[in-house]
Amino acid sequence: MVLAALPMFVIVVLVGVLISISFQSGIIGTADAKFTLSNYVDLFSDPIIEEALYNTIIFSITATLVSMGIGLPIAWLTERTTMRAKSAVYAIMTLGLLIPGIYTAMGWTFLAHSRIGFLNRWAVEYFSLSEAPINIATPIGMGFVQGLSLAALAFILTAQMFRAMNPSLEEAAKIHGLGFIGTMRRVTLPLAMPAILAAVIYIVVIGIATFDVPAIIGLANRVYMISTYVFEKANPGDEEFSQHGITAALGVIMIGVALLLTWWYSTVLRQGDKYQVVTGKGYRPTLIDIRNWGKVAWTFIILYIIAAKIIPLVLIGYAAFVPYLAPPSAKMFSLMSLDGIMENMDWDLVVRGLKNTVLLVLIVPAATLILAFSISWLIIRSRSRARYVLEFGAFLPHALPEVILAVAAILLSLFVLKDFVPLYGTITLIAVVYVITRISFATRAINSALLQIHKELEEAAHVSGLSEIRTSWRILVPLLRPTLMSVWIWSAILVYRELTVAVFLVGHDNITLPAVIWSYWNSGATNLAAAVTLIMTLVLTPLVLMFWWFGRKSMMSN
Amino acid sequence: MISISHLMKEFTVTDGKVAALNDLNIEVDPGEFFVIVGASGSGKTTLLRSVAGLETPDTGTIKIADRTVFSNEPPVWIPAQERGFGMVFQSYAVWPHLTVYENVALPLREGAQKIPGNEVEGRVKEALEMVQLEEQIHRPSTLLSGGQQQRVALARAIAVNPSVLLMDEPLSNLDARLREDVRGKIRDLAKNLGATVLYVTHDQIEAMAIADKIALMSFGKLLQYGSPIELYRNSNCAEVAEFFGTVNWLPGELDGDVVKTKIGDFSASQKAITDKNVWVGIRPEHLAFPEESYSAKPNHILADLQNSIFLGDQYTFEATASDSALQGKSRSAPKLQSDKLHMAVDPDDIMVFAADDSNTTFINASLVDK
Repeated sequence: MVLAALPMFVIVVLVGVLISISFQSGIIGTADAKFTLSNYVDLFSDPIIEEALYNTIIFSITATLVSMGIGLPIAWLTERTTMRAKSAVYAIMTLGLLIPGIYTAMGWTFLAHSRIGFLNRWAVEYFSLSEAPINIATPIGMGFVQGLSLAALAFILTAQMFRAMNPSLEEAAKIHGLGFIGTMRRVTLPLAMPAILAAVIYIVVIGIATFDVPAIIGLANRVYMISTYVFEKANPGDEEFSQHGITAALGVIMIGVALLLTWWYSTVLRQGDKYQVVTGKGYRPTLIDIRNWGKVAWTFIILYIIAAKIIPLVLIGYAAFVPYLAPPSAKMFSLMSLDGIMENMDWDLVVRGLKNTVLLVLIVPAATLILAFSISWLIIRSRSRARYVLEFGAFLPHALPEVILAVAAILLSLFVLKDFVPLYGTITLIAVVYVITRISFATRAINSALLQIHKELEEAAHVSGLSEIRTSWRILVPLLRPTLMSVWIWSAILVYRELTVAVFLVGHDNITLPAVIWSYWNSGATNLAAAVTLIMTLVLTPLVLMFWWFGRKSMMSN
Repeated sequence: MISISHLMKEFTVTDGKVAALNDLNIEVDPGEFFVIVGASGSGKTTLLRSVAGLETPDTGTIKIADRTVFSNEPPVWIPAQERGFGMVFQSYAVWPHLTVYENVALPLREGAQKIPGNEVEGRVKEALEMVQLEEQIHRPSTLLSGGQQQRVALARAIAVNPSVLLMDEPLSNLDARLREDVRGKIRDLAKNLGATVLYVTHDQIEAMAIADKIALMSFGKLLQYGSPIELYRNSNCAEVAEFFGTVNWLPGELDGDVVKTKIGDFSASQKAITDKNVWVGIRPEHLAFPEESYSAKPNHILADLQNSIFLGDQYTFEATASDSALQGKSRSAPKLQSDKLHMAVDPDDIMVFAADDSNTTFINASLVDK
């Protein structure tokens, strides 16, 4: 019970601190602070916020269109047609989900930045253009890159929907004389609409709050999104003071918007459930025969993989070993060496980052699992009224943008806890925020797994004389093992590659590996950033393979 | 063996509270096969789960062989794992990650009894032999059919030598033919073991076939309990009579020794009723065809035959007498005398219940339907 209430308590404190500081001016967090609305006034009179808002909207729309444009057709092809090698699509898309957005962002910066981008350099050279034709550092450009990395998520979200759809509804349309187009237009799409809309809202929410892609591509070029605007206000450089009141005010507004969108999301989802017609066990949907179009479909999928994953990874590898950035050529290949990395890399920093990251990967997923298991058990199995509160509490971090949680954590450690517990700049603070951000996903996964386990399986153990703890250990844990394993590895991977919270919270001692990449990238040392990325990938690969292996095993046992 | 007194339990629902158990008093003798029967929502499963220790009643006491397992005054609560029962669940609750052997062995090895390791195997085999599942002993439980899983659940429940065996609709997930076969076997097994059984079902035929005693519950209340014959022939209220089979209901007025209805007068052998307004109940199989022709005596009915259906072992027919519809069942074909059907009912078979009883409202509803 205490374990289950703990994350909830931390969230309430974080949001409370954020709201209270958004109304303070003067010396924040002391008795001298004055109640004021000036933070909100300042926020709305800042000319940059208007631009950031506009950019964020364009960015989110582009990201949503691109990711749905790629993910939705692949989902339909995989679930409802005779396309070959479907398990390969699932494997590719799951791997795609695991490759961090910063990889794609870095790769596409090398490819299409207006000054250094290889595509631009080639175009200017071969077609004698006066200026670069493509600029990735625009809201649309960044939206495109974000869309590439979110396409895997769009696929996962919509593939589930196509799988759950009752094929007899479509068959009924066919039998009553509707053709392929007619069935698609009058039955399939209307039935799929709520789920598609829900996926769109989900991706828009991510788009609004996402930090890594806008930071990697946009910050150096002074193209601001809401999230990078918050970062600038919190870390304004040496000559200015951090404007914590304004970031808190923006945070409060963002929480409001995020809650509203999430509420809309859950309403739409519930609407979708209305359409779900109960199907018998083991039905096989009739698949649509696409014959030779299968090759076209696979070409589409492969092109996506190349653009979103392979090119970025190859370019990062290339950038790590060249002394300066120029398009690949015979000359550049002859210049490739390890010298640049060896001379300039601050190995102390990298080792410190690796140590901290490994520590986080060991602690955070385990803590998340224990907390999420207690919350889930209470939500699903207890009859107490506290379960509604817990359910909402566990769902809340999902609605709160990570950027805002990070800001709230800074404010909490700087202004509220500073005299009691020195948390600022410690690995503990990062760990706490990581657990909070992971808890929603973990709870939801364990909830649905626990719902699948008939309550009588536990009761049978009780009546047979097994104690509560033995019942958990002998019955629940073995039955939940595939879920617990995949939640653990999934959390470990997300913690390992996390860049949003880290960028806000790291200092000298508690820097993480992704934050090392970020600091090199931000200071213009792209080759060092690329080199650390390669080191990170080497460590990440076994984790990803483990995830894939366990994921396949649990899929097969289902 | 099982002694339940003044047991109460309320559930909070959206529009107030519902009594799932309303002042229940039941005594089950050792070795008795006791069936709790009722419609869904009658509280029968709540009662069973309260005895098992999976549900906590609000007030009352539950004693098992003079050991109090629940009481609110003084507060006593023995958790399920310390009560030492065996239970067969509706879903069987066979642990899917374990084999047949492990399913039966786990409670022996890690349950409250802690059977010594060298005895476990023998006990498991013995239990599996009793349910004729010894050949499946090392199969994963997920590869078993529904009927086999049901037997694993039964073996697991009897392996711990329980003082009381609890069964929550154990047959409801089996197909109809298997059900009749298995219910006989369950009764034989329980009788051989000498176990006291508390068995929940919603099926009145299953209850009559298997029970030494039946308790009928409705909306949390115990309506009546006794042997199957008692409940069928001497129902203490209209609802009990209706539950155990079709009844033709007729409104009537008590006038001395006879009840006057619009289809004729009836006299019943036993009626402990002084109310003026009553319901007369006649079961279809009690409508007999007398040899002598109709005369306006008590218990004689003159009716028009509407239809008659031959079902092989019996005939069912519908007749109307003074606008009242009557359903009948007979071994021989209904025979007409000058276009009319003459029927008579034995005074032993006439049921009479007070009409102001709240338990008879369903009769009014069913008459309106007709």
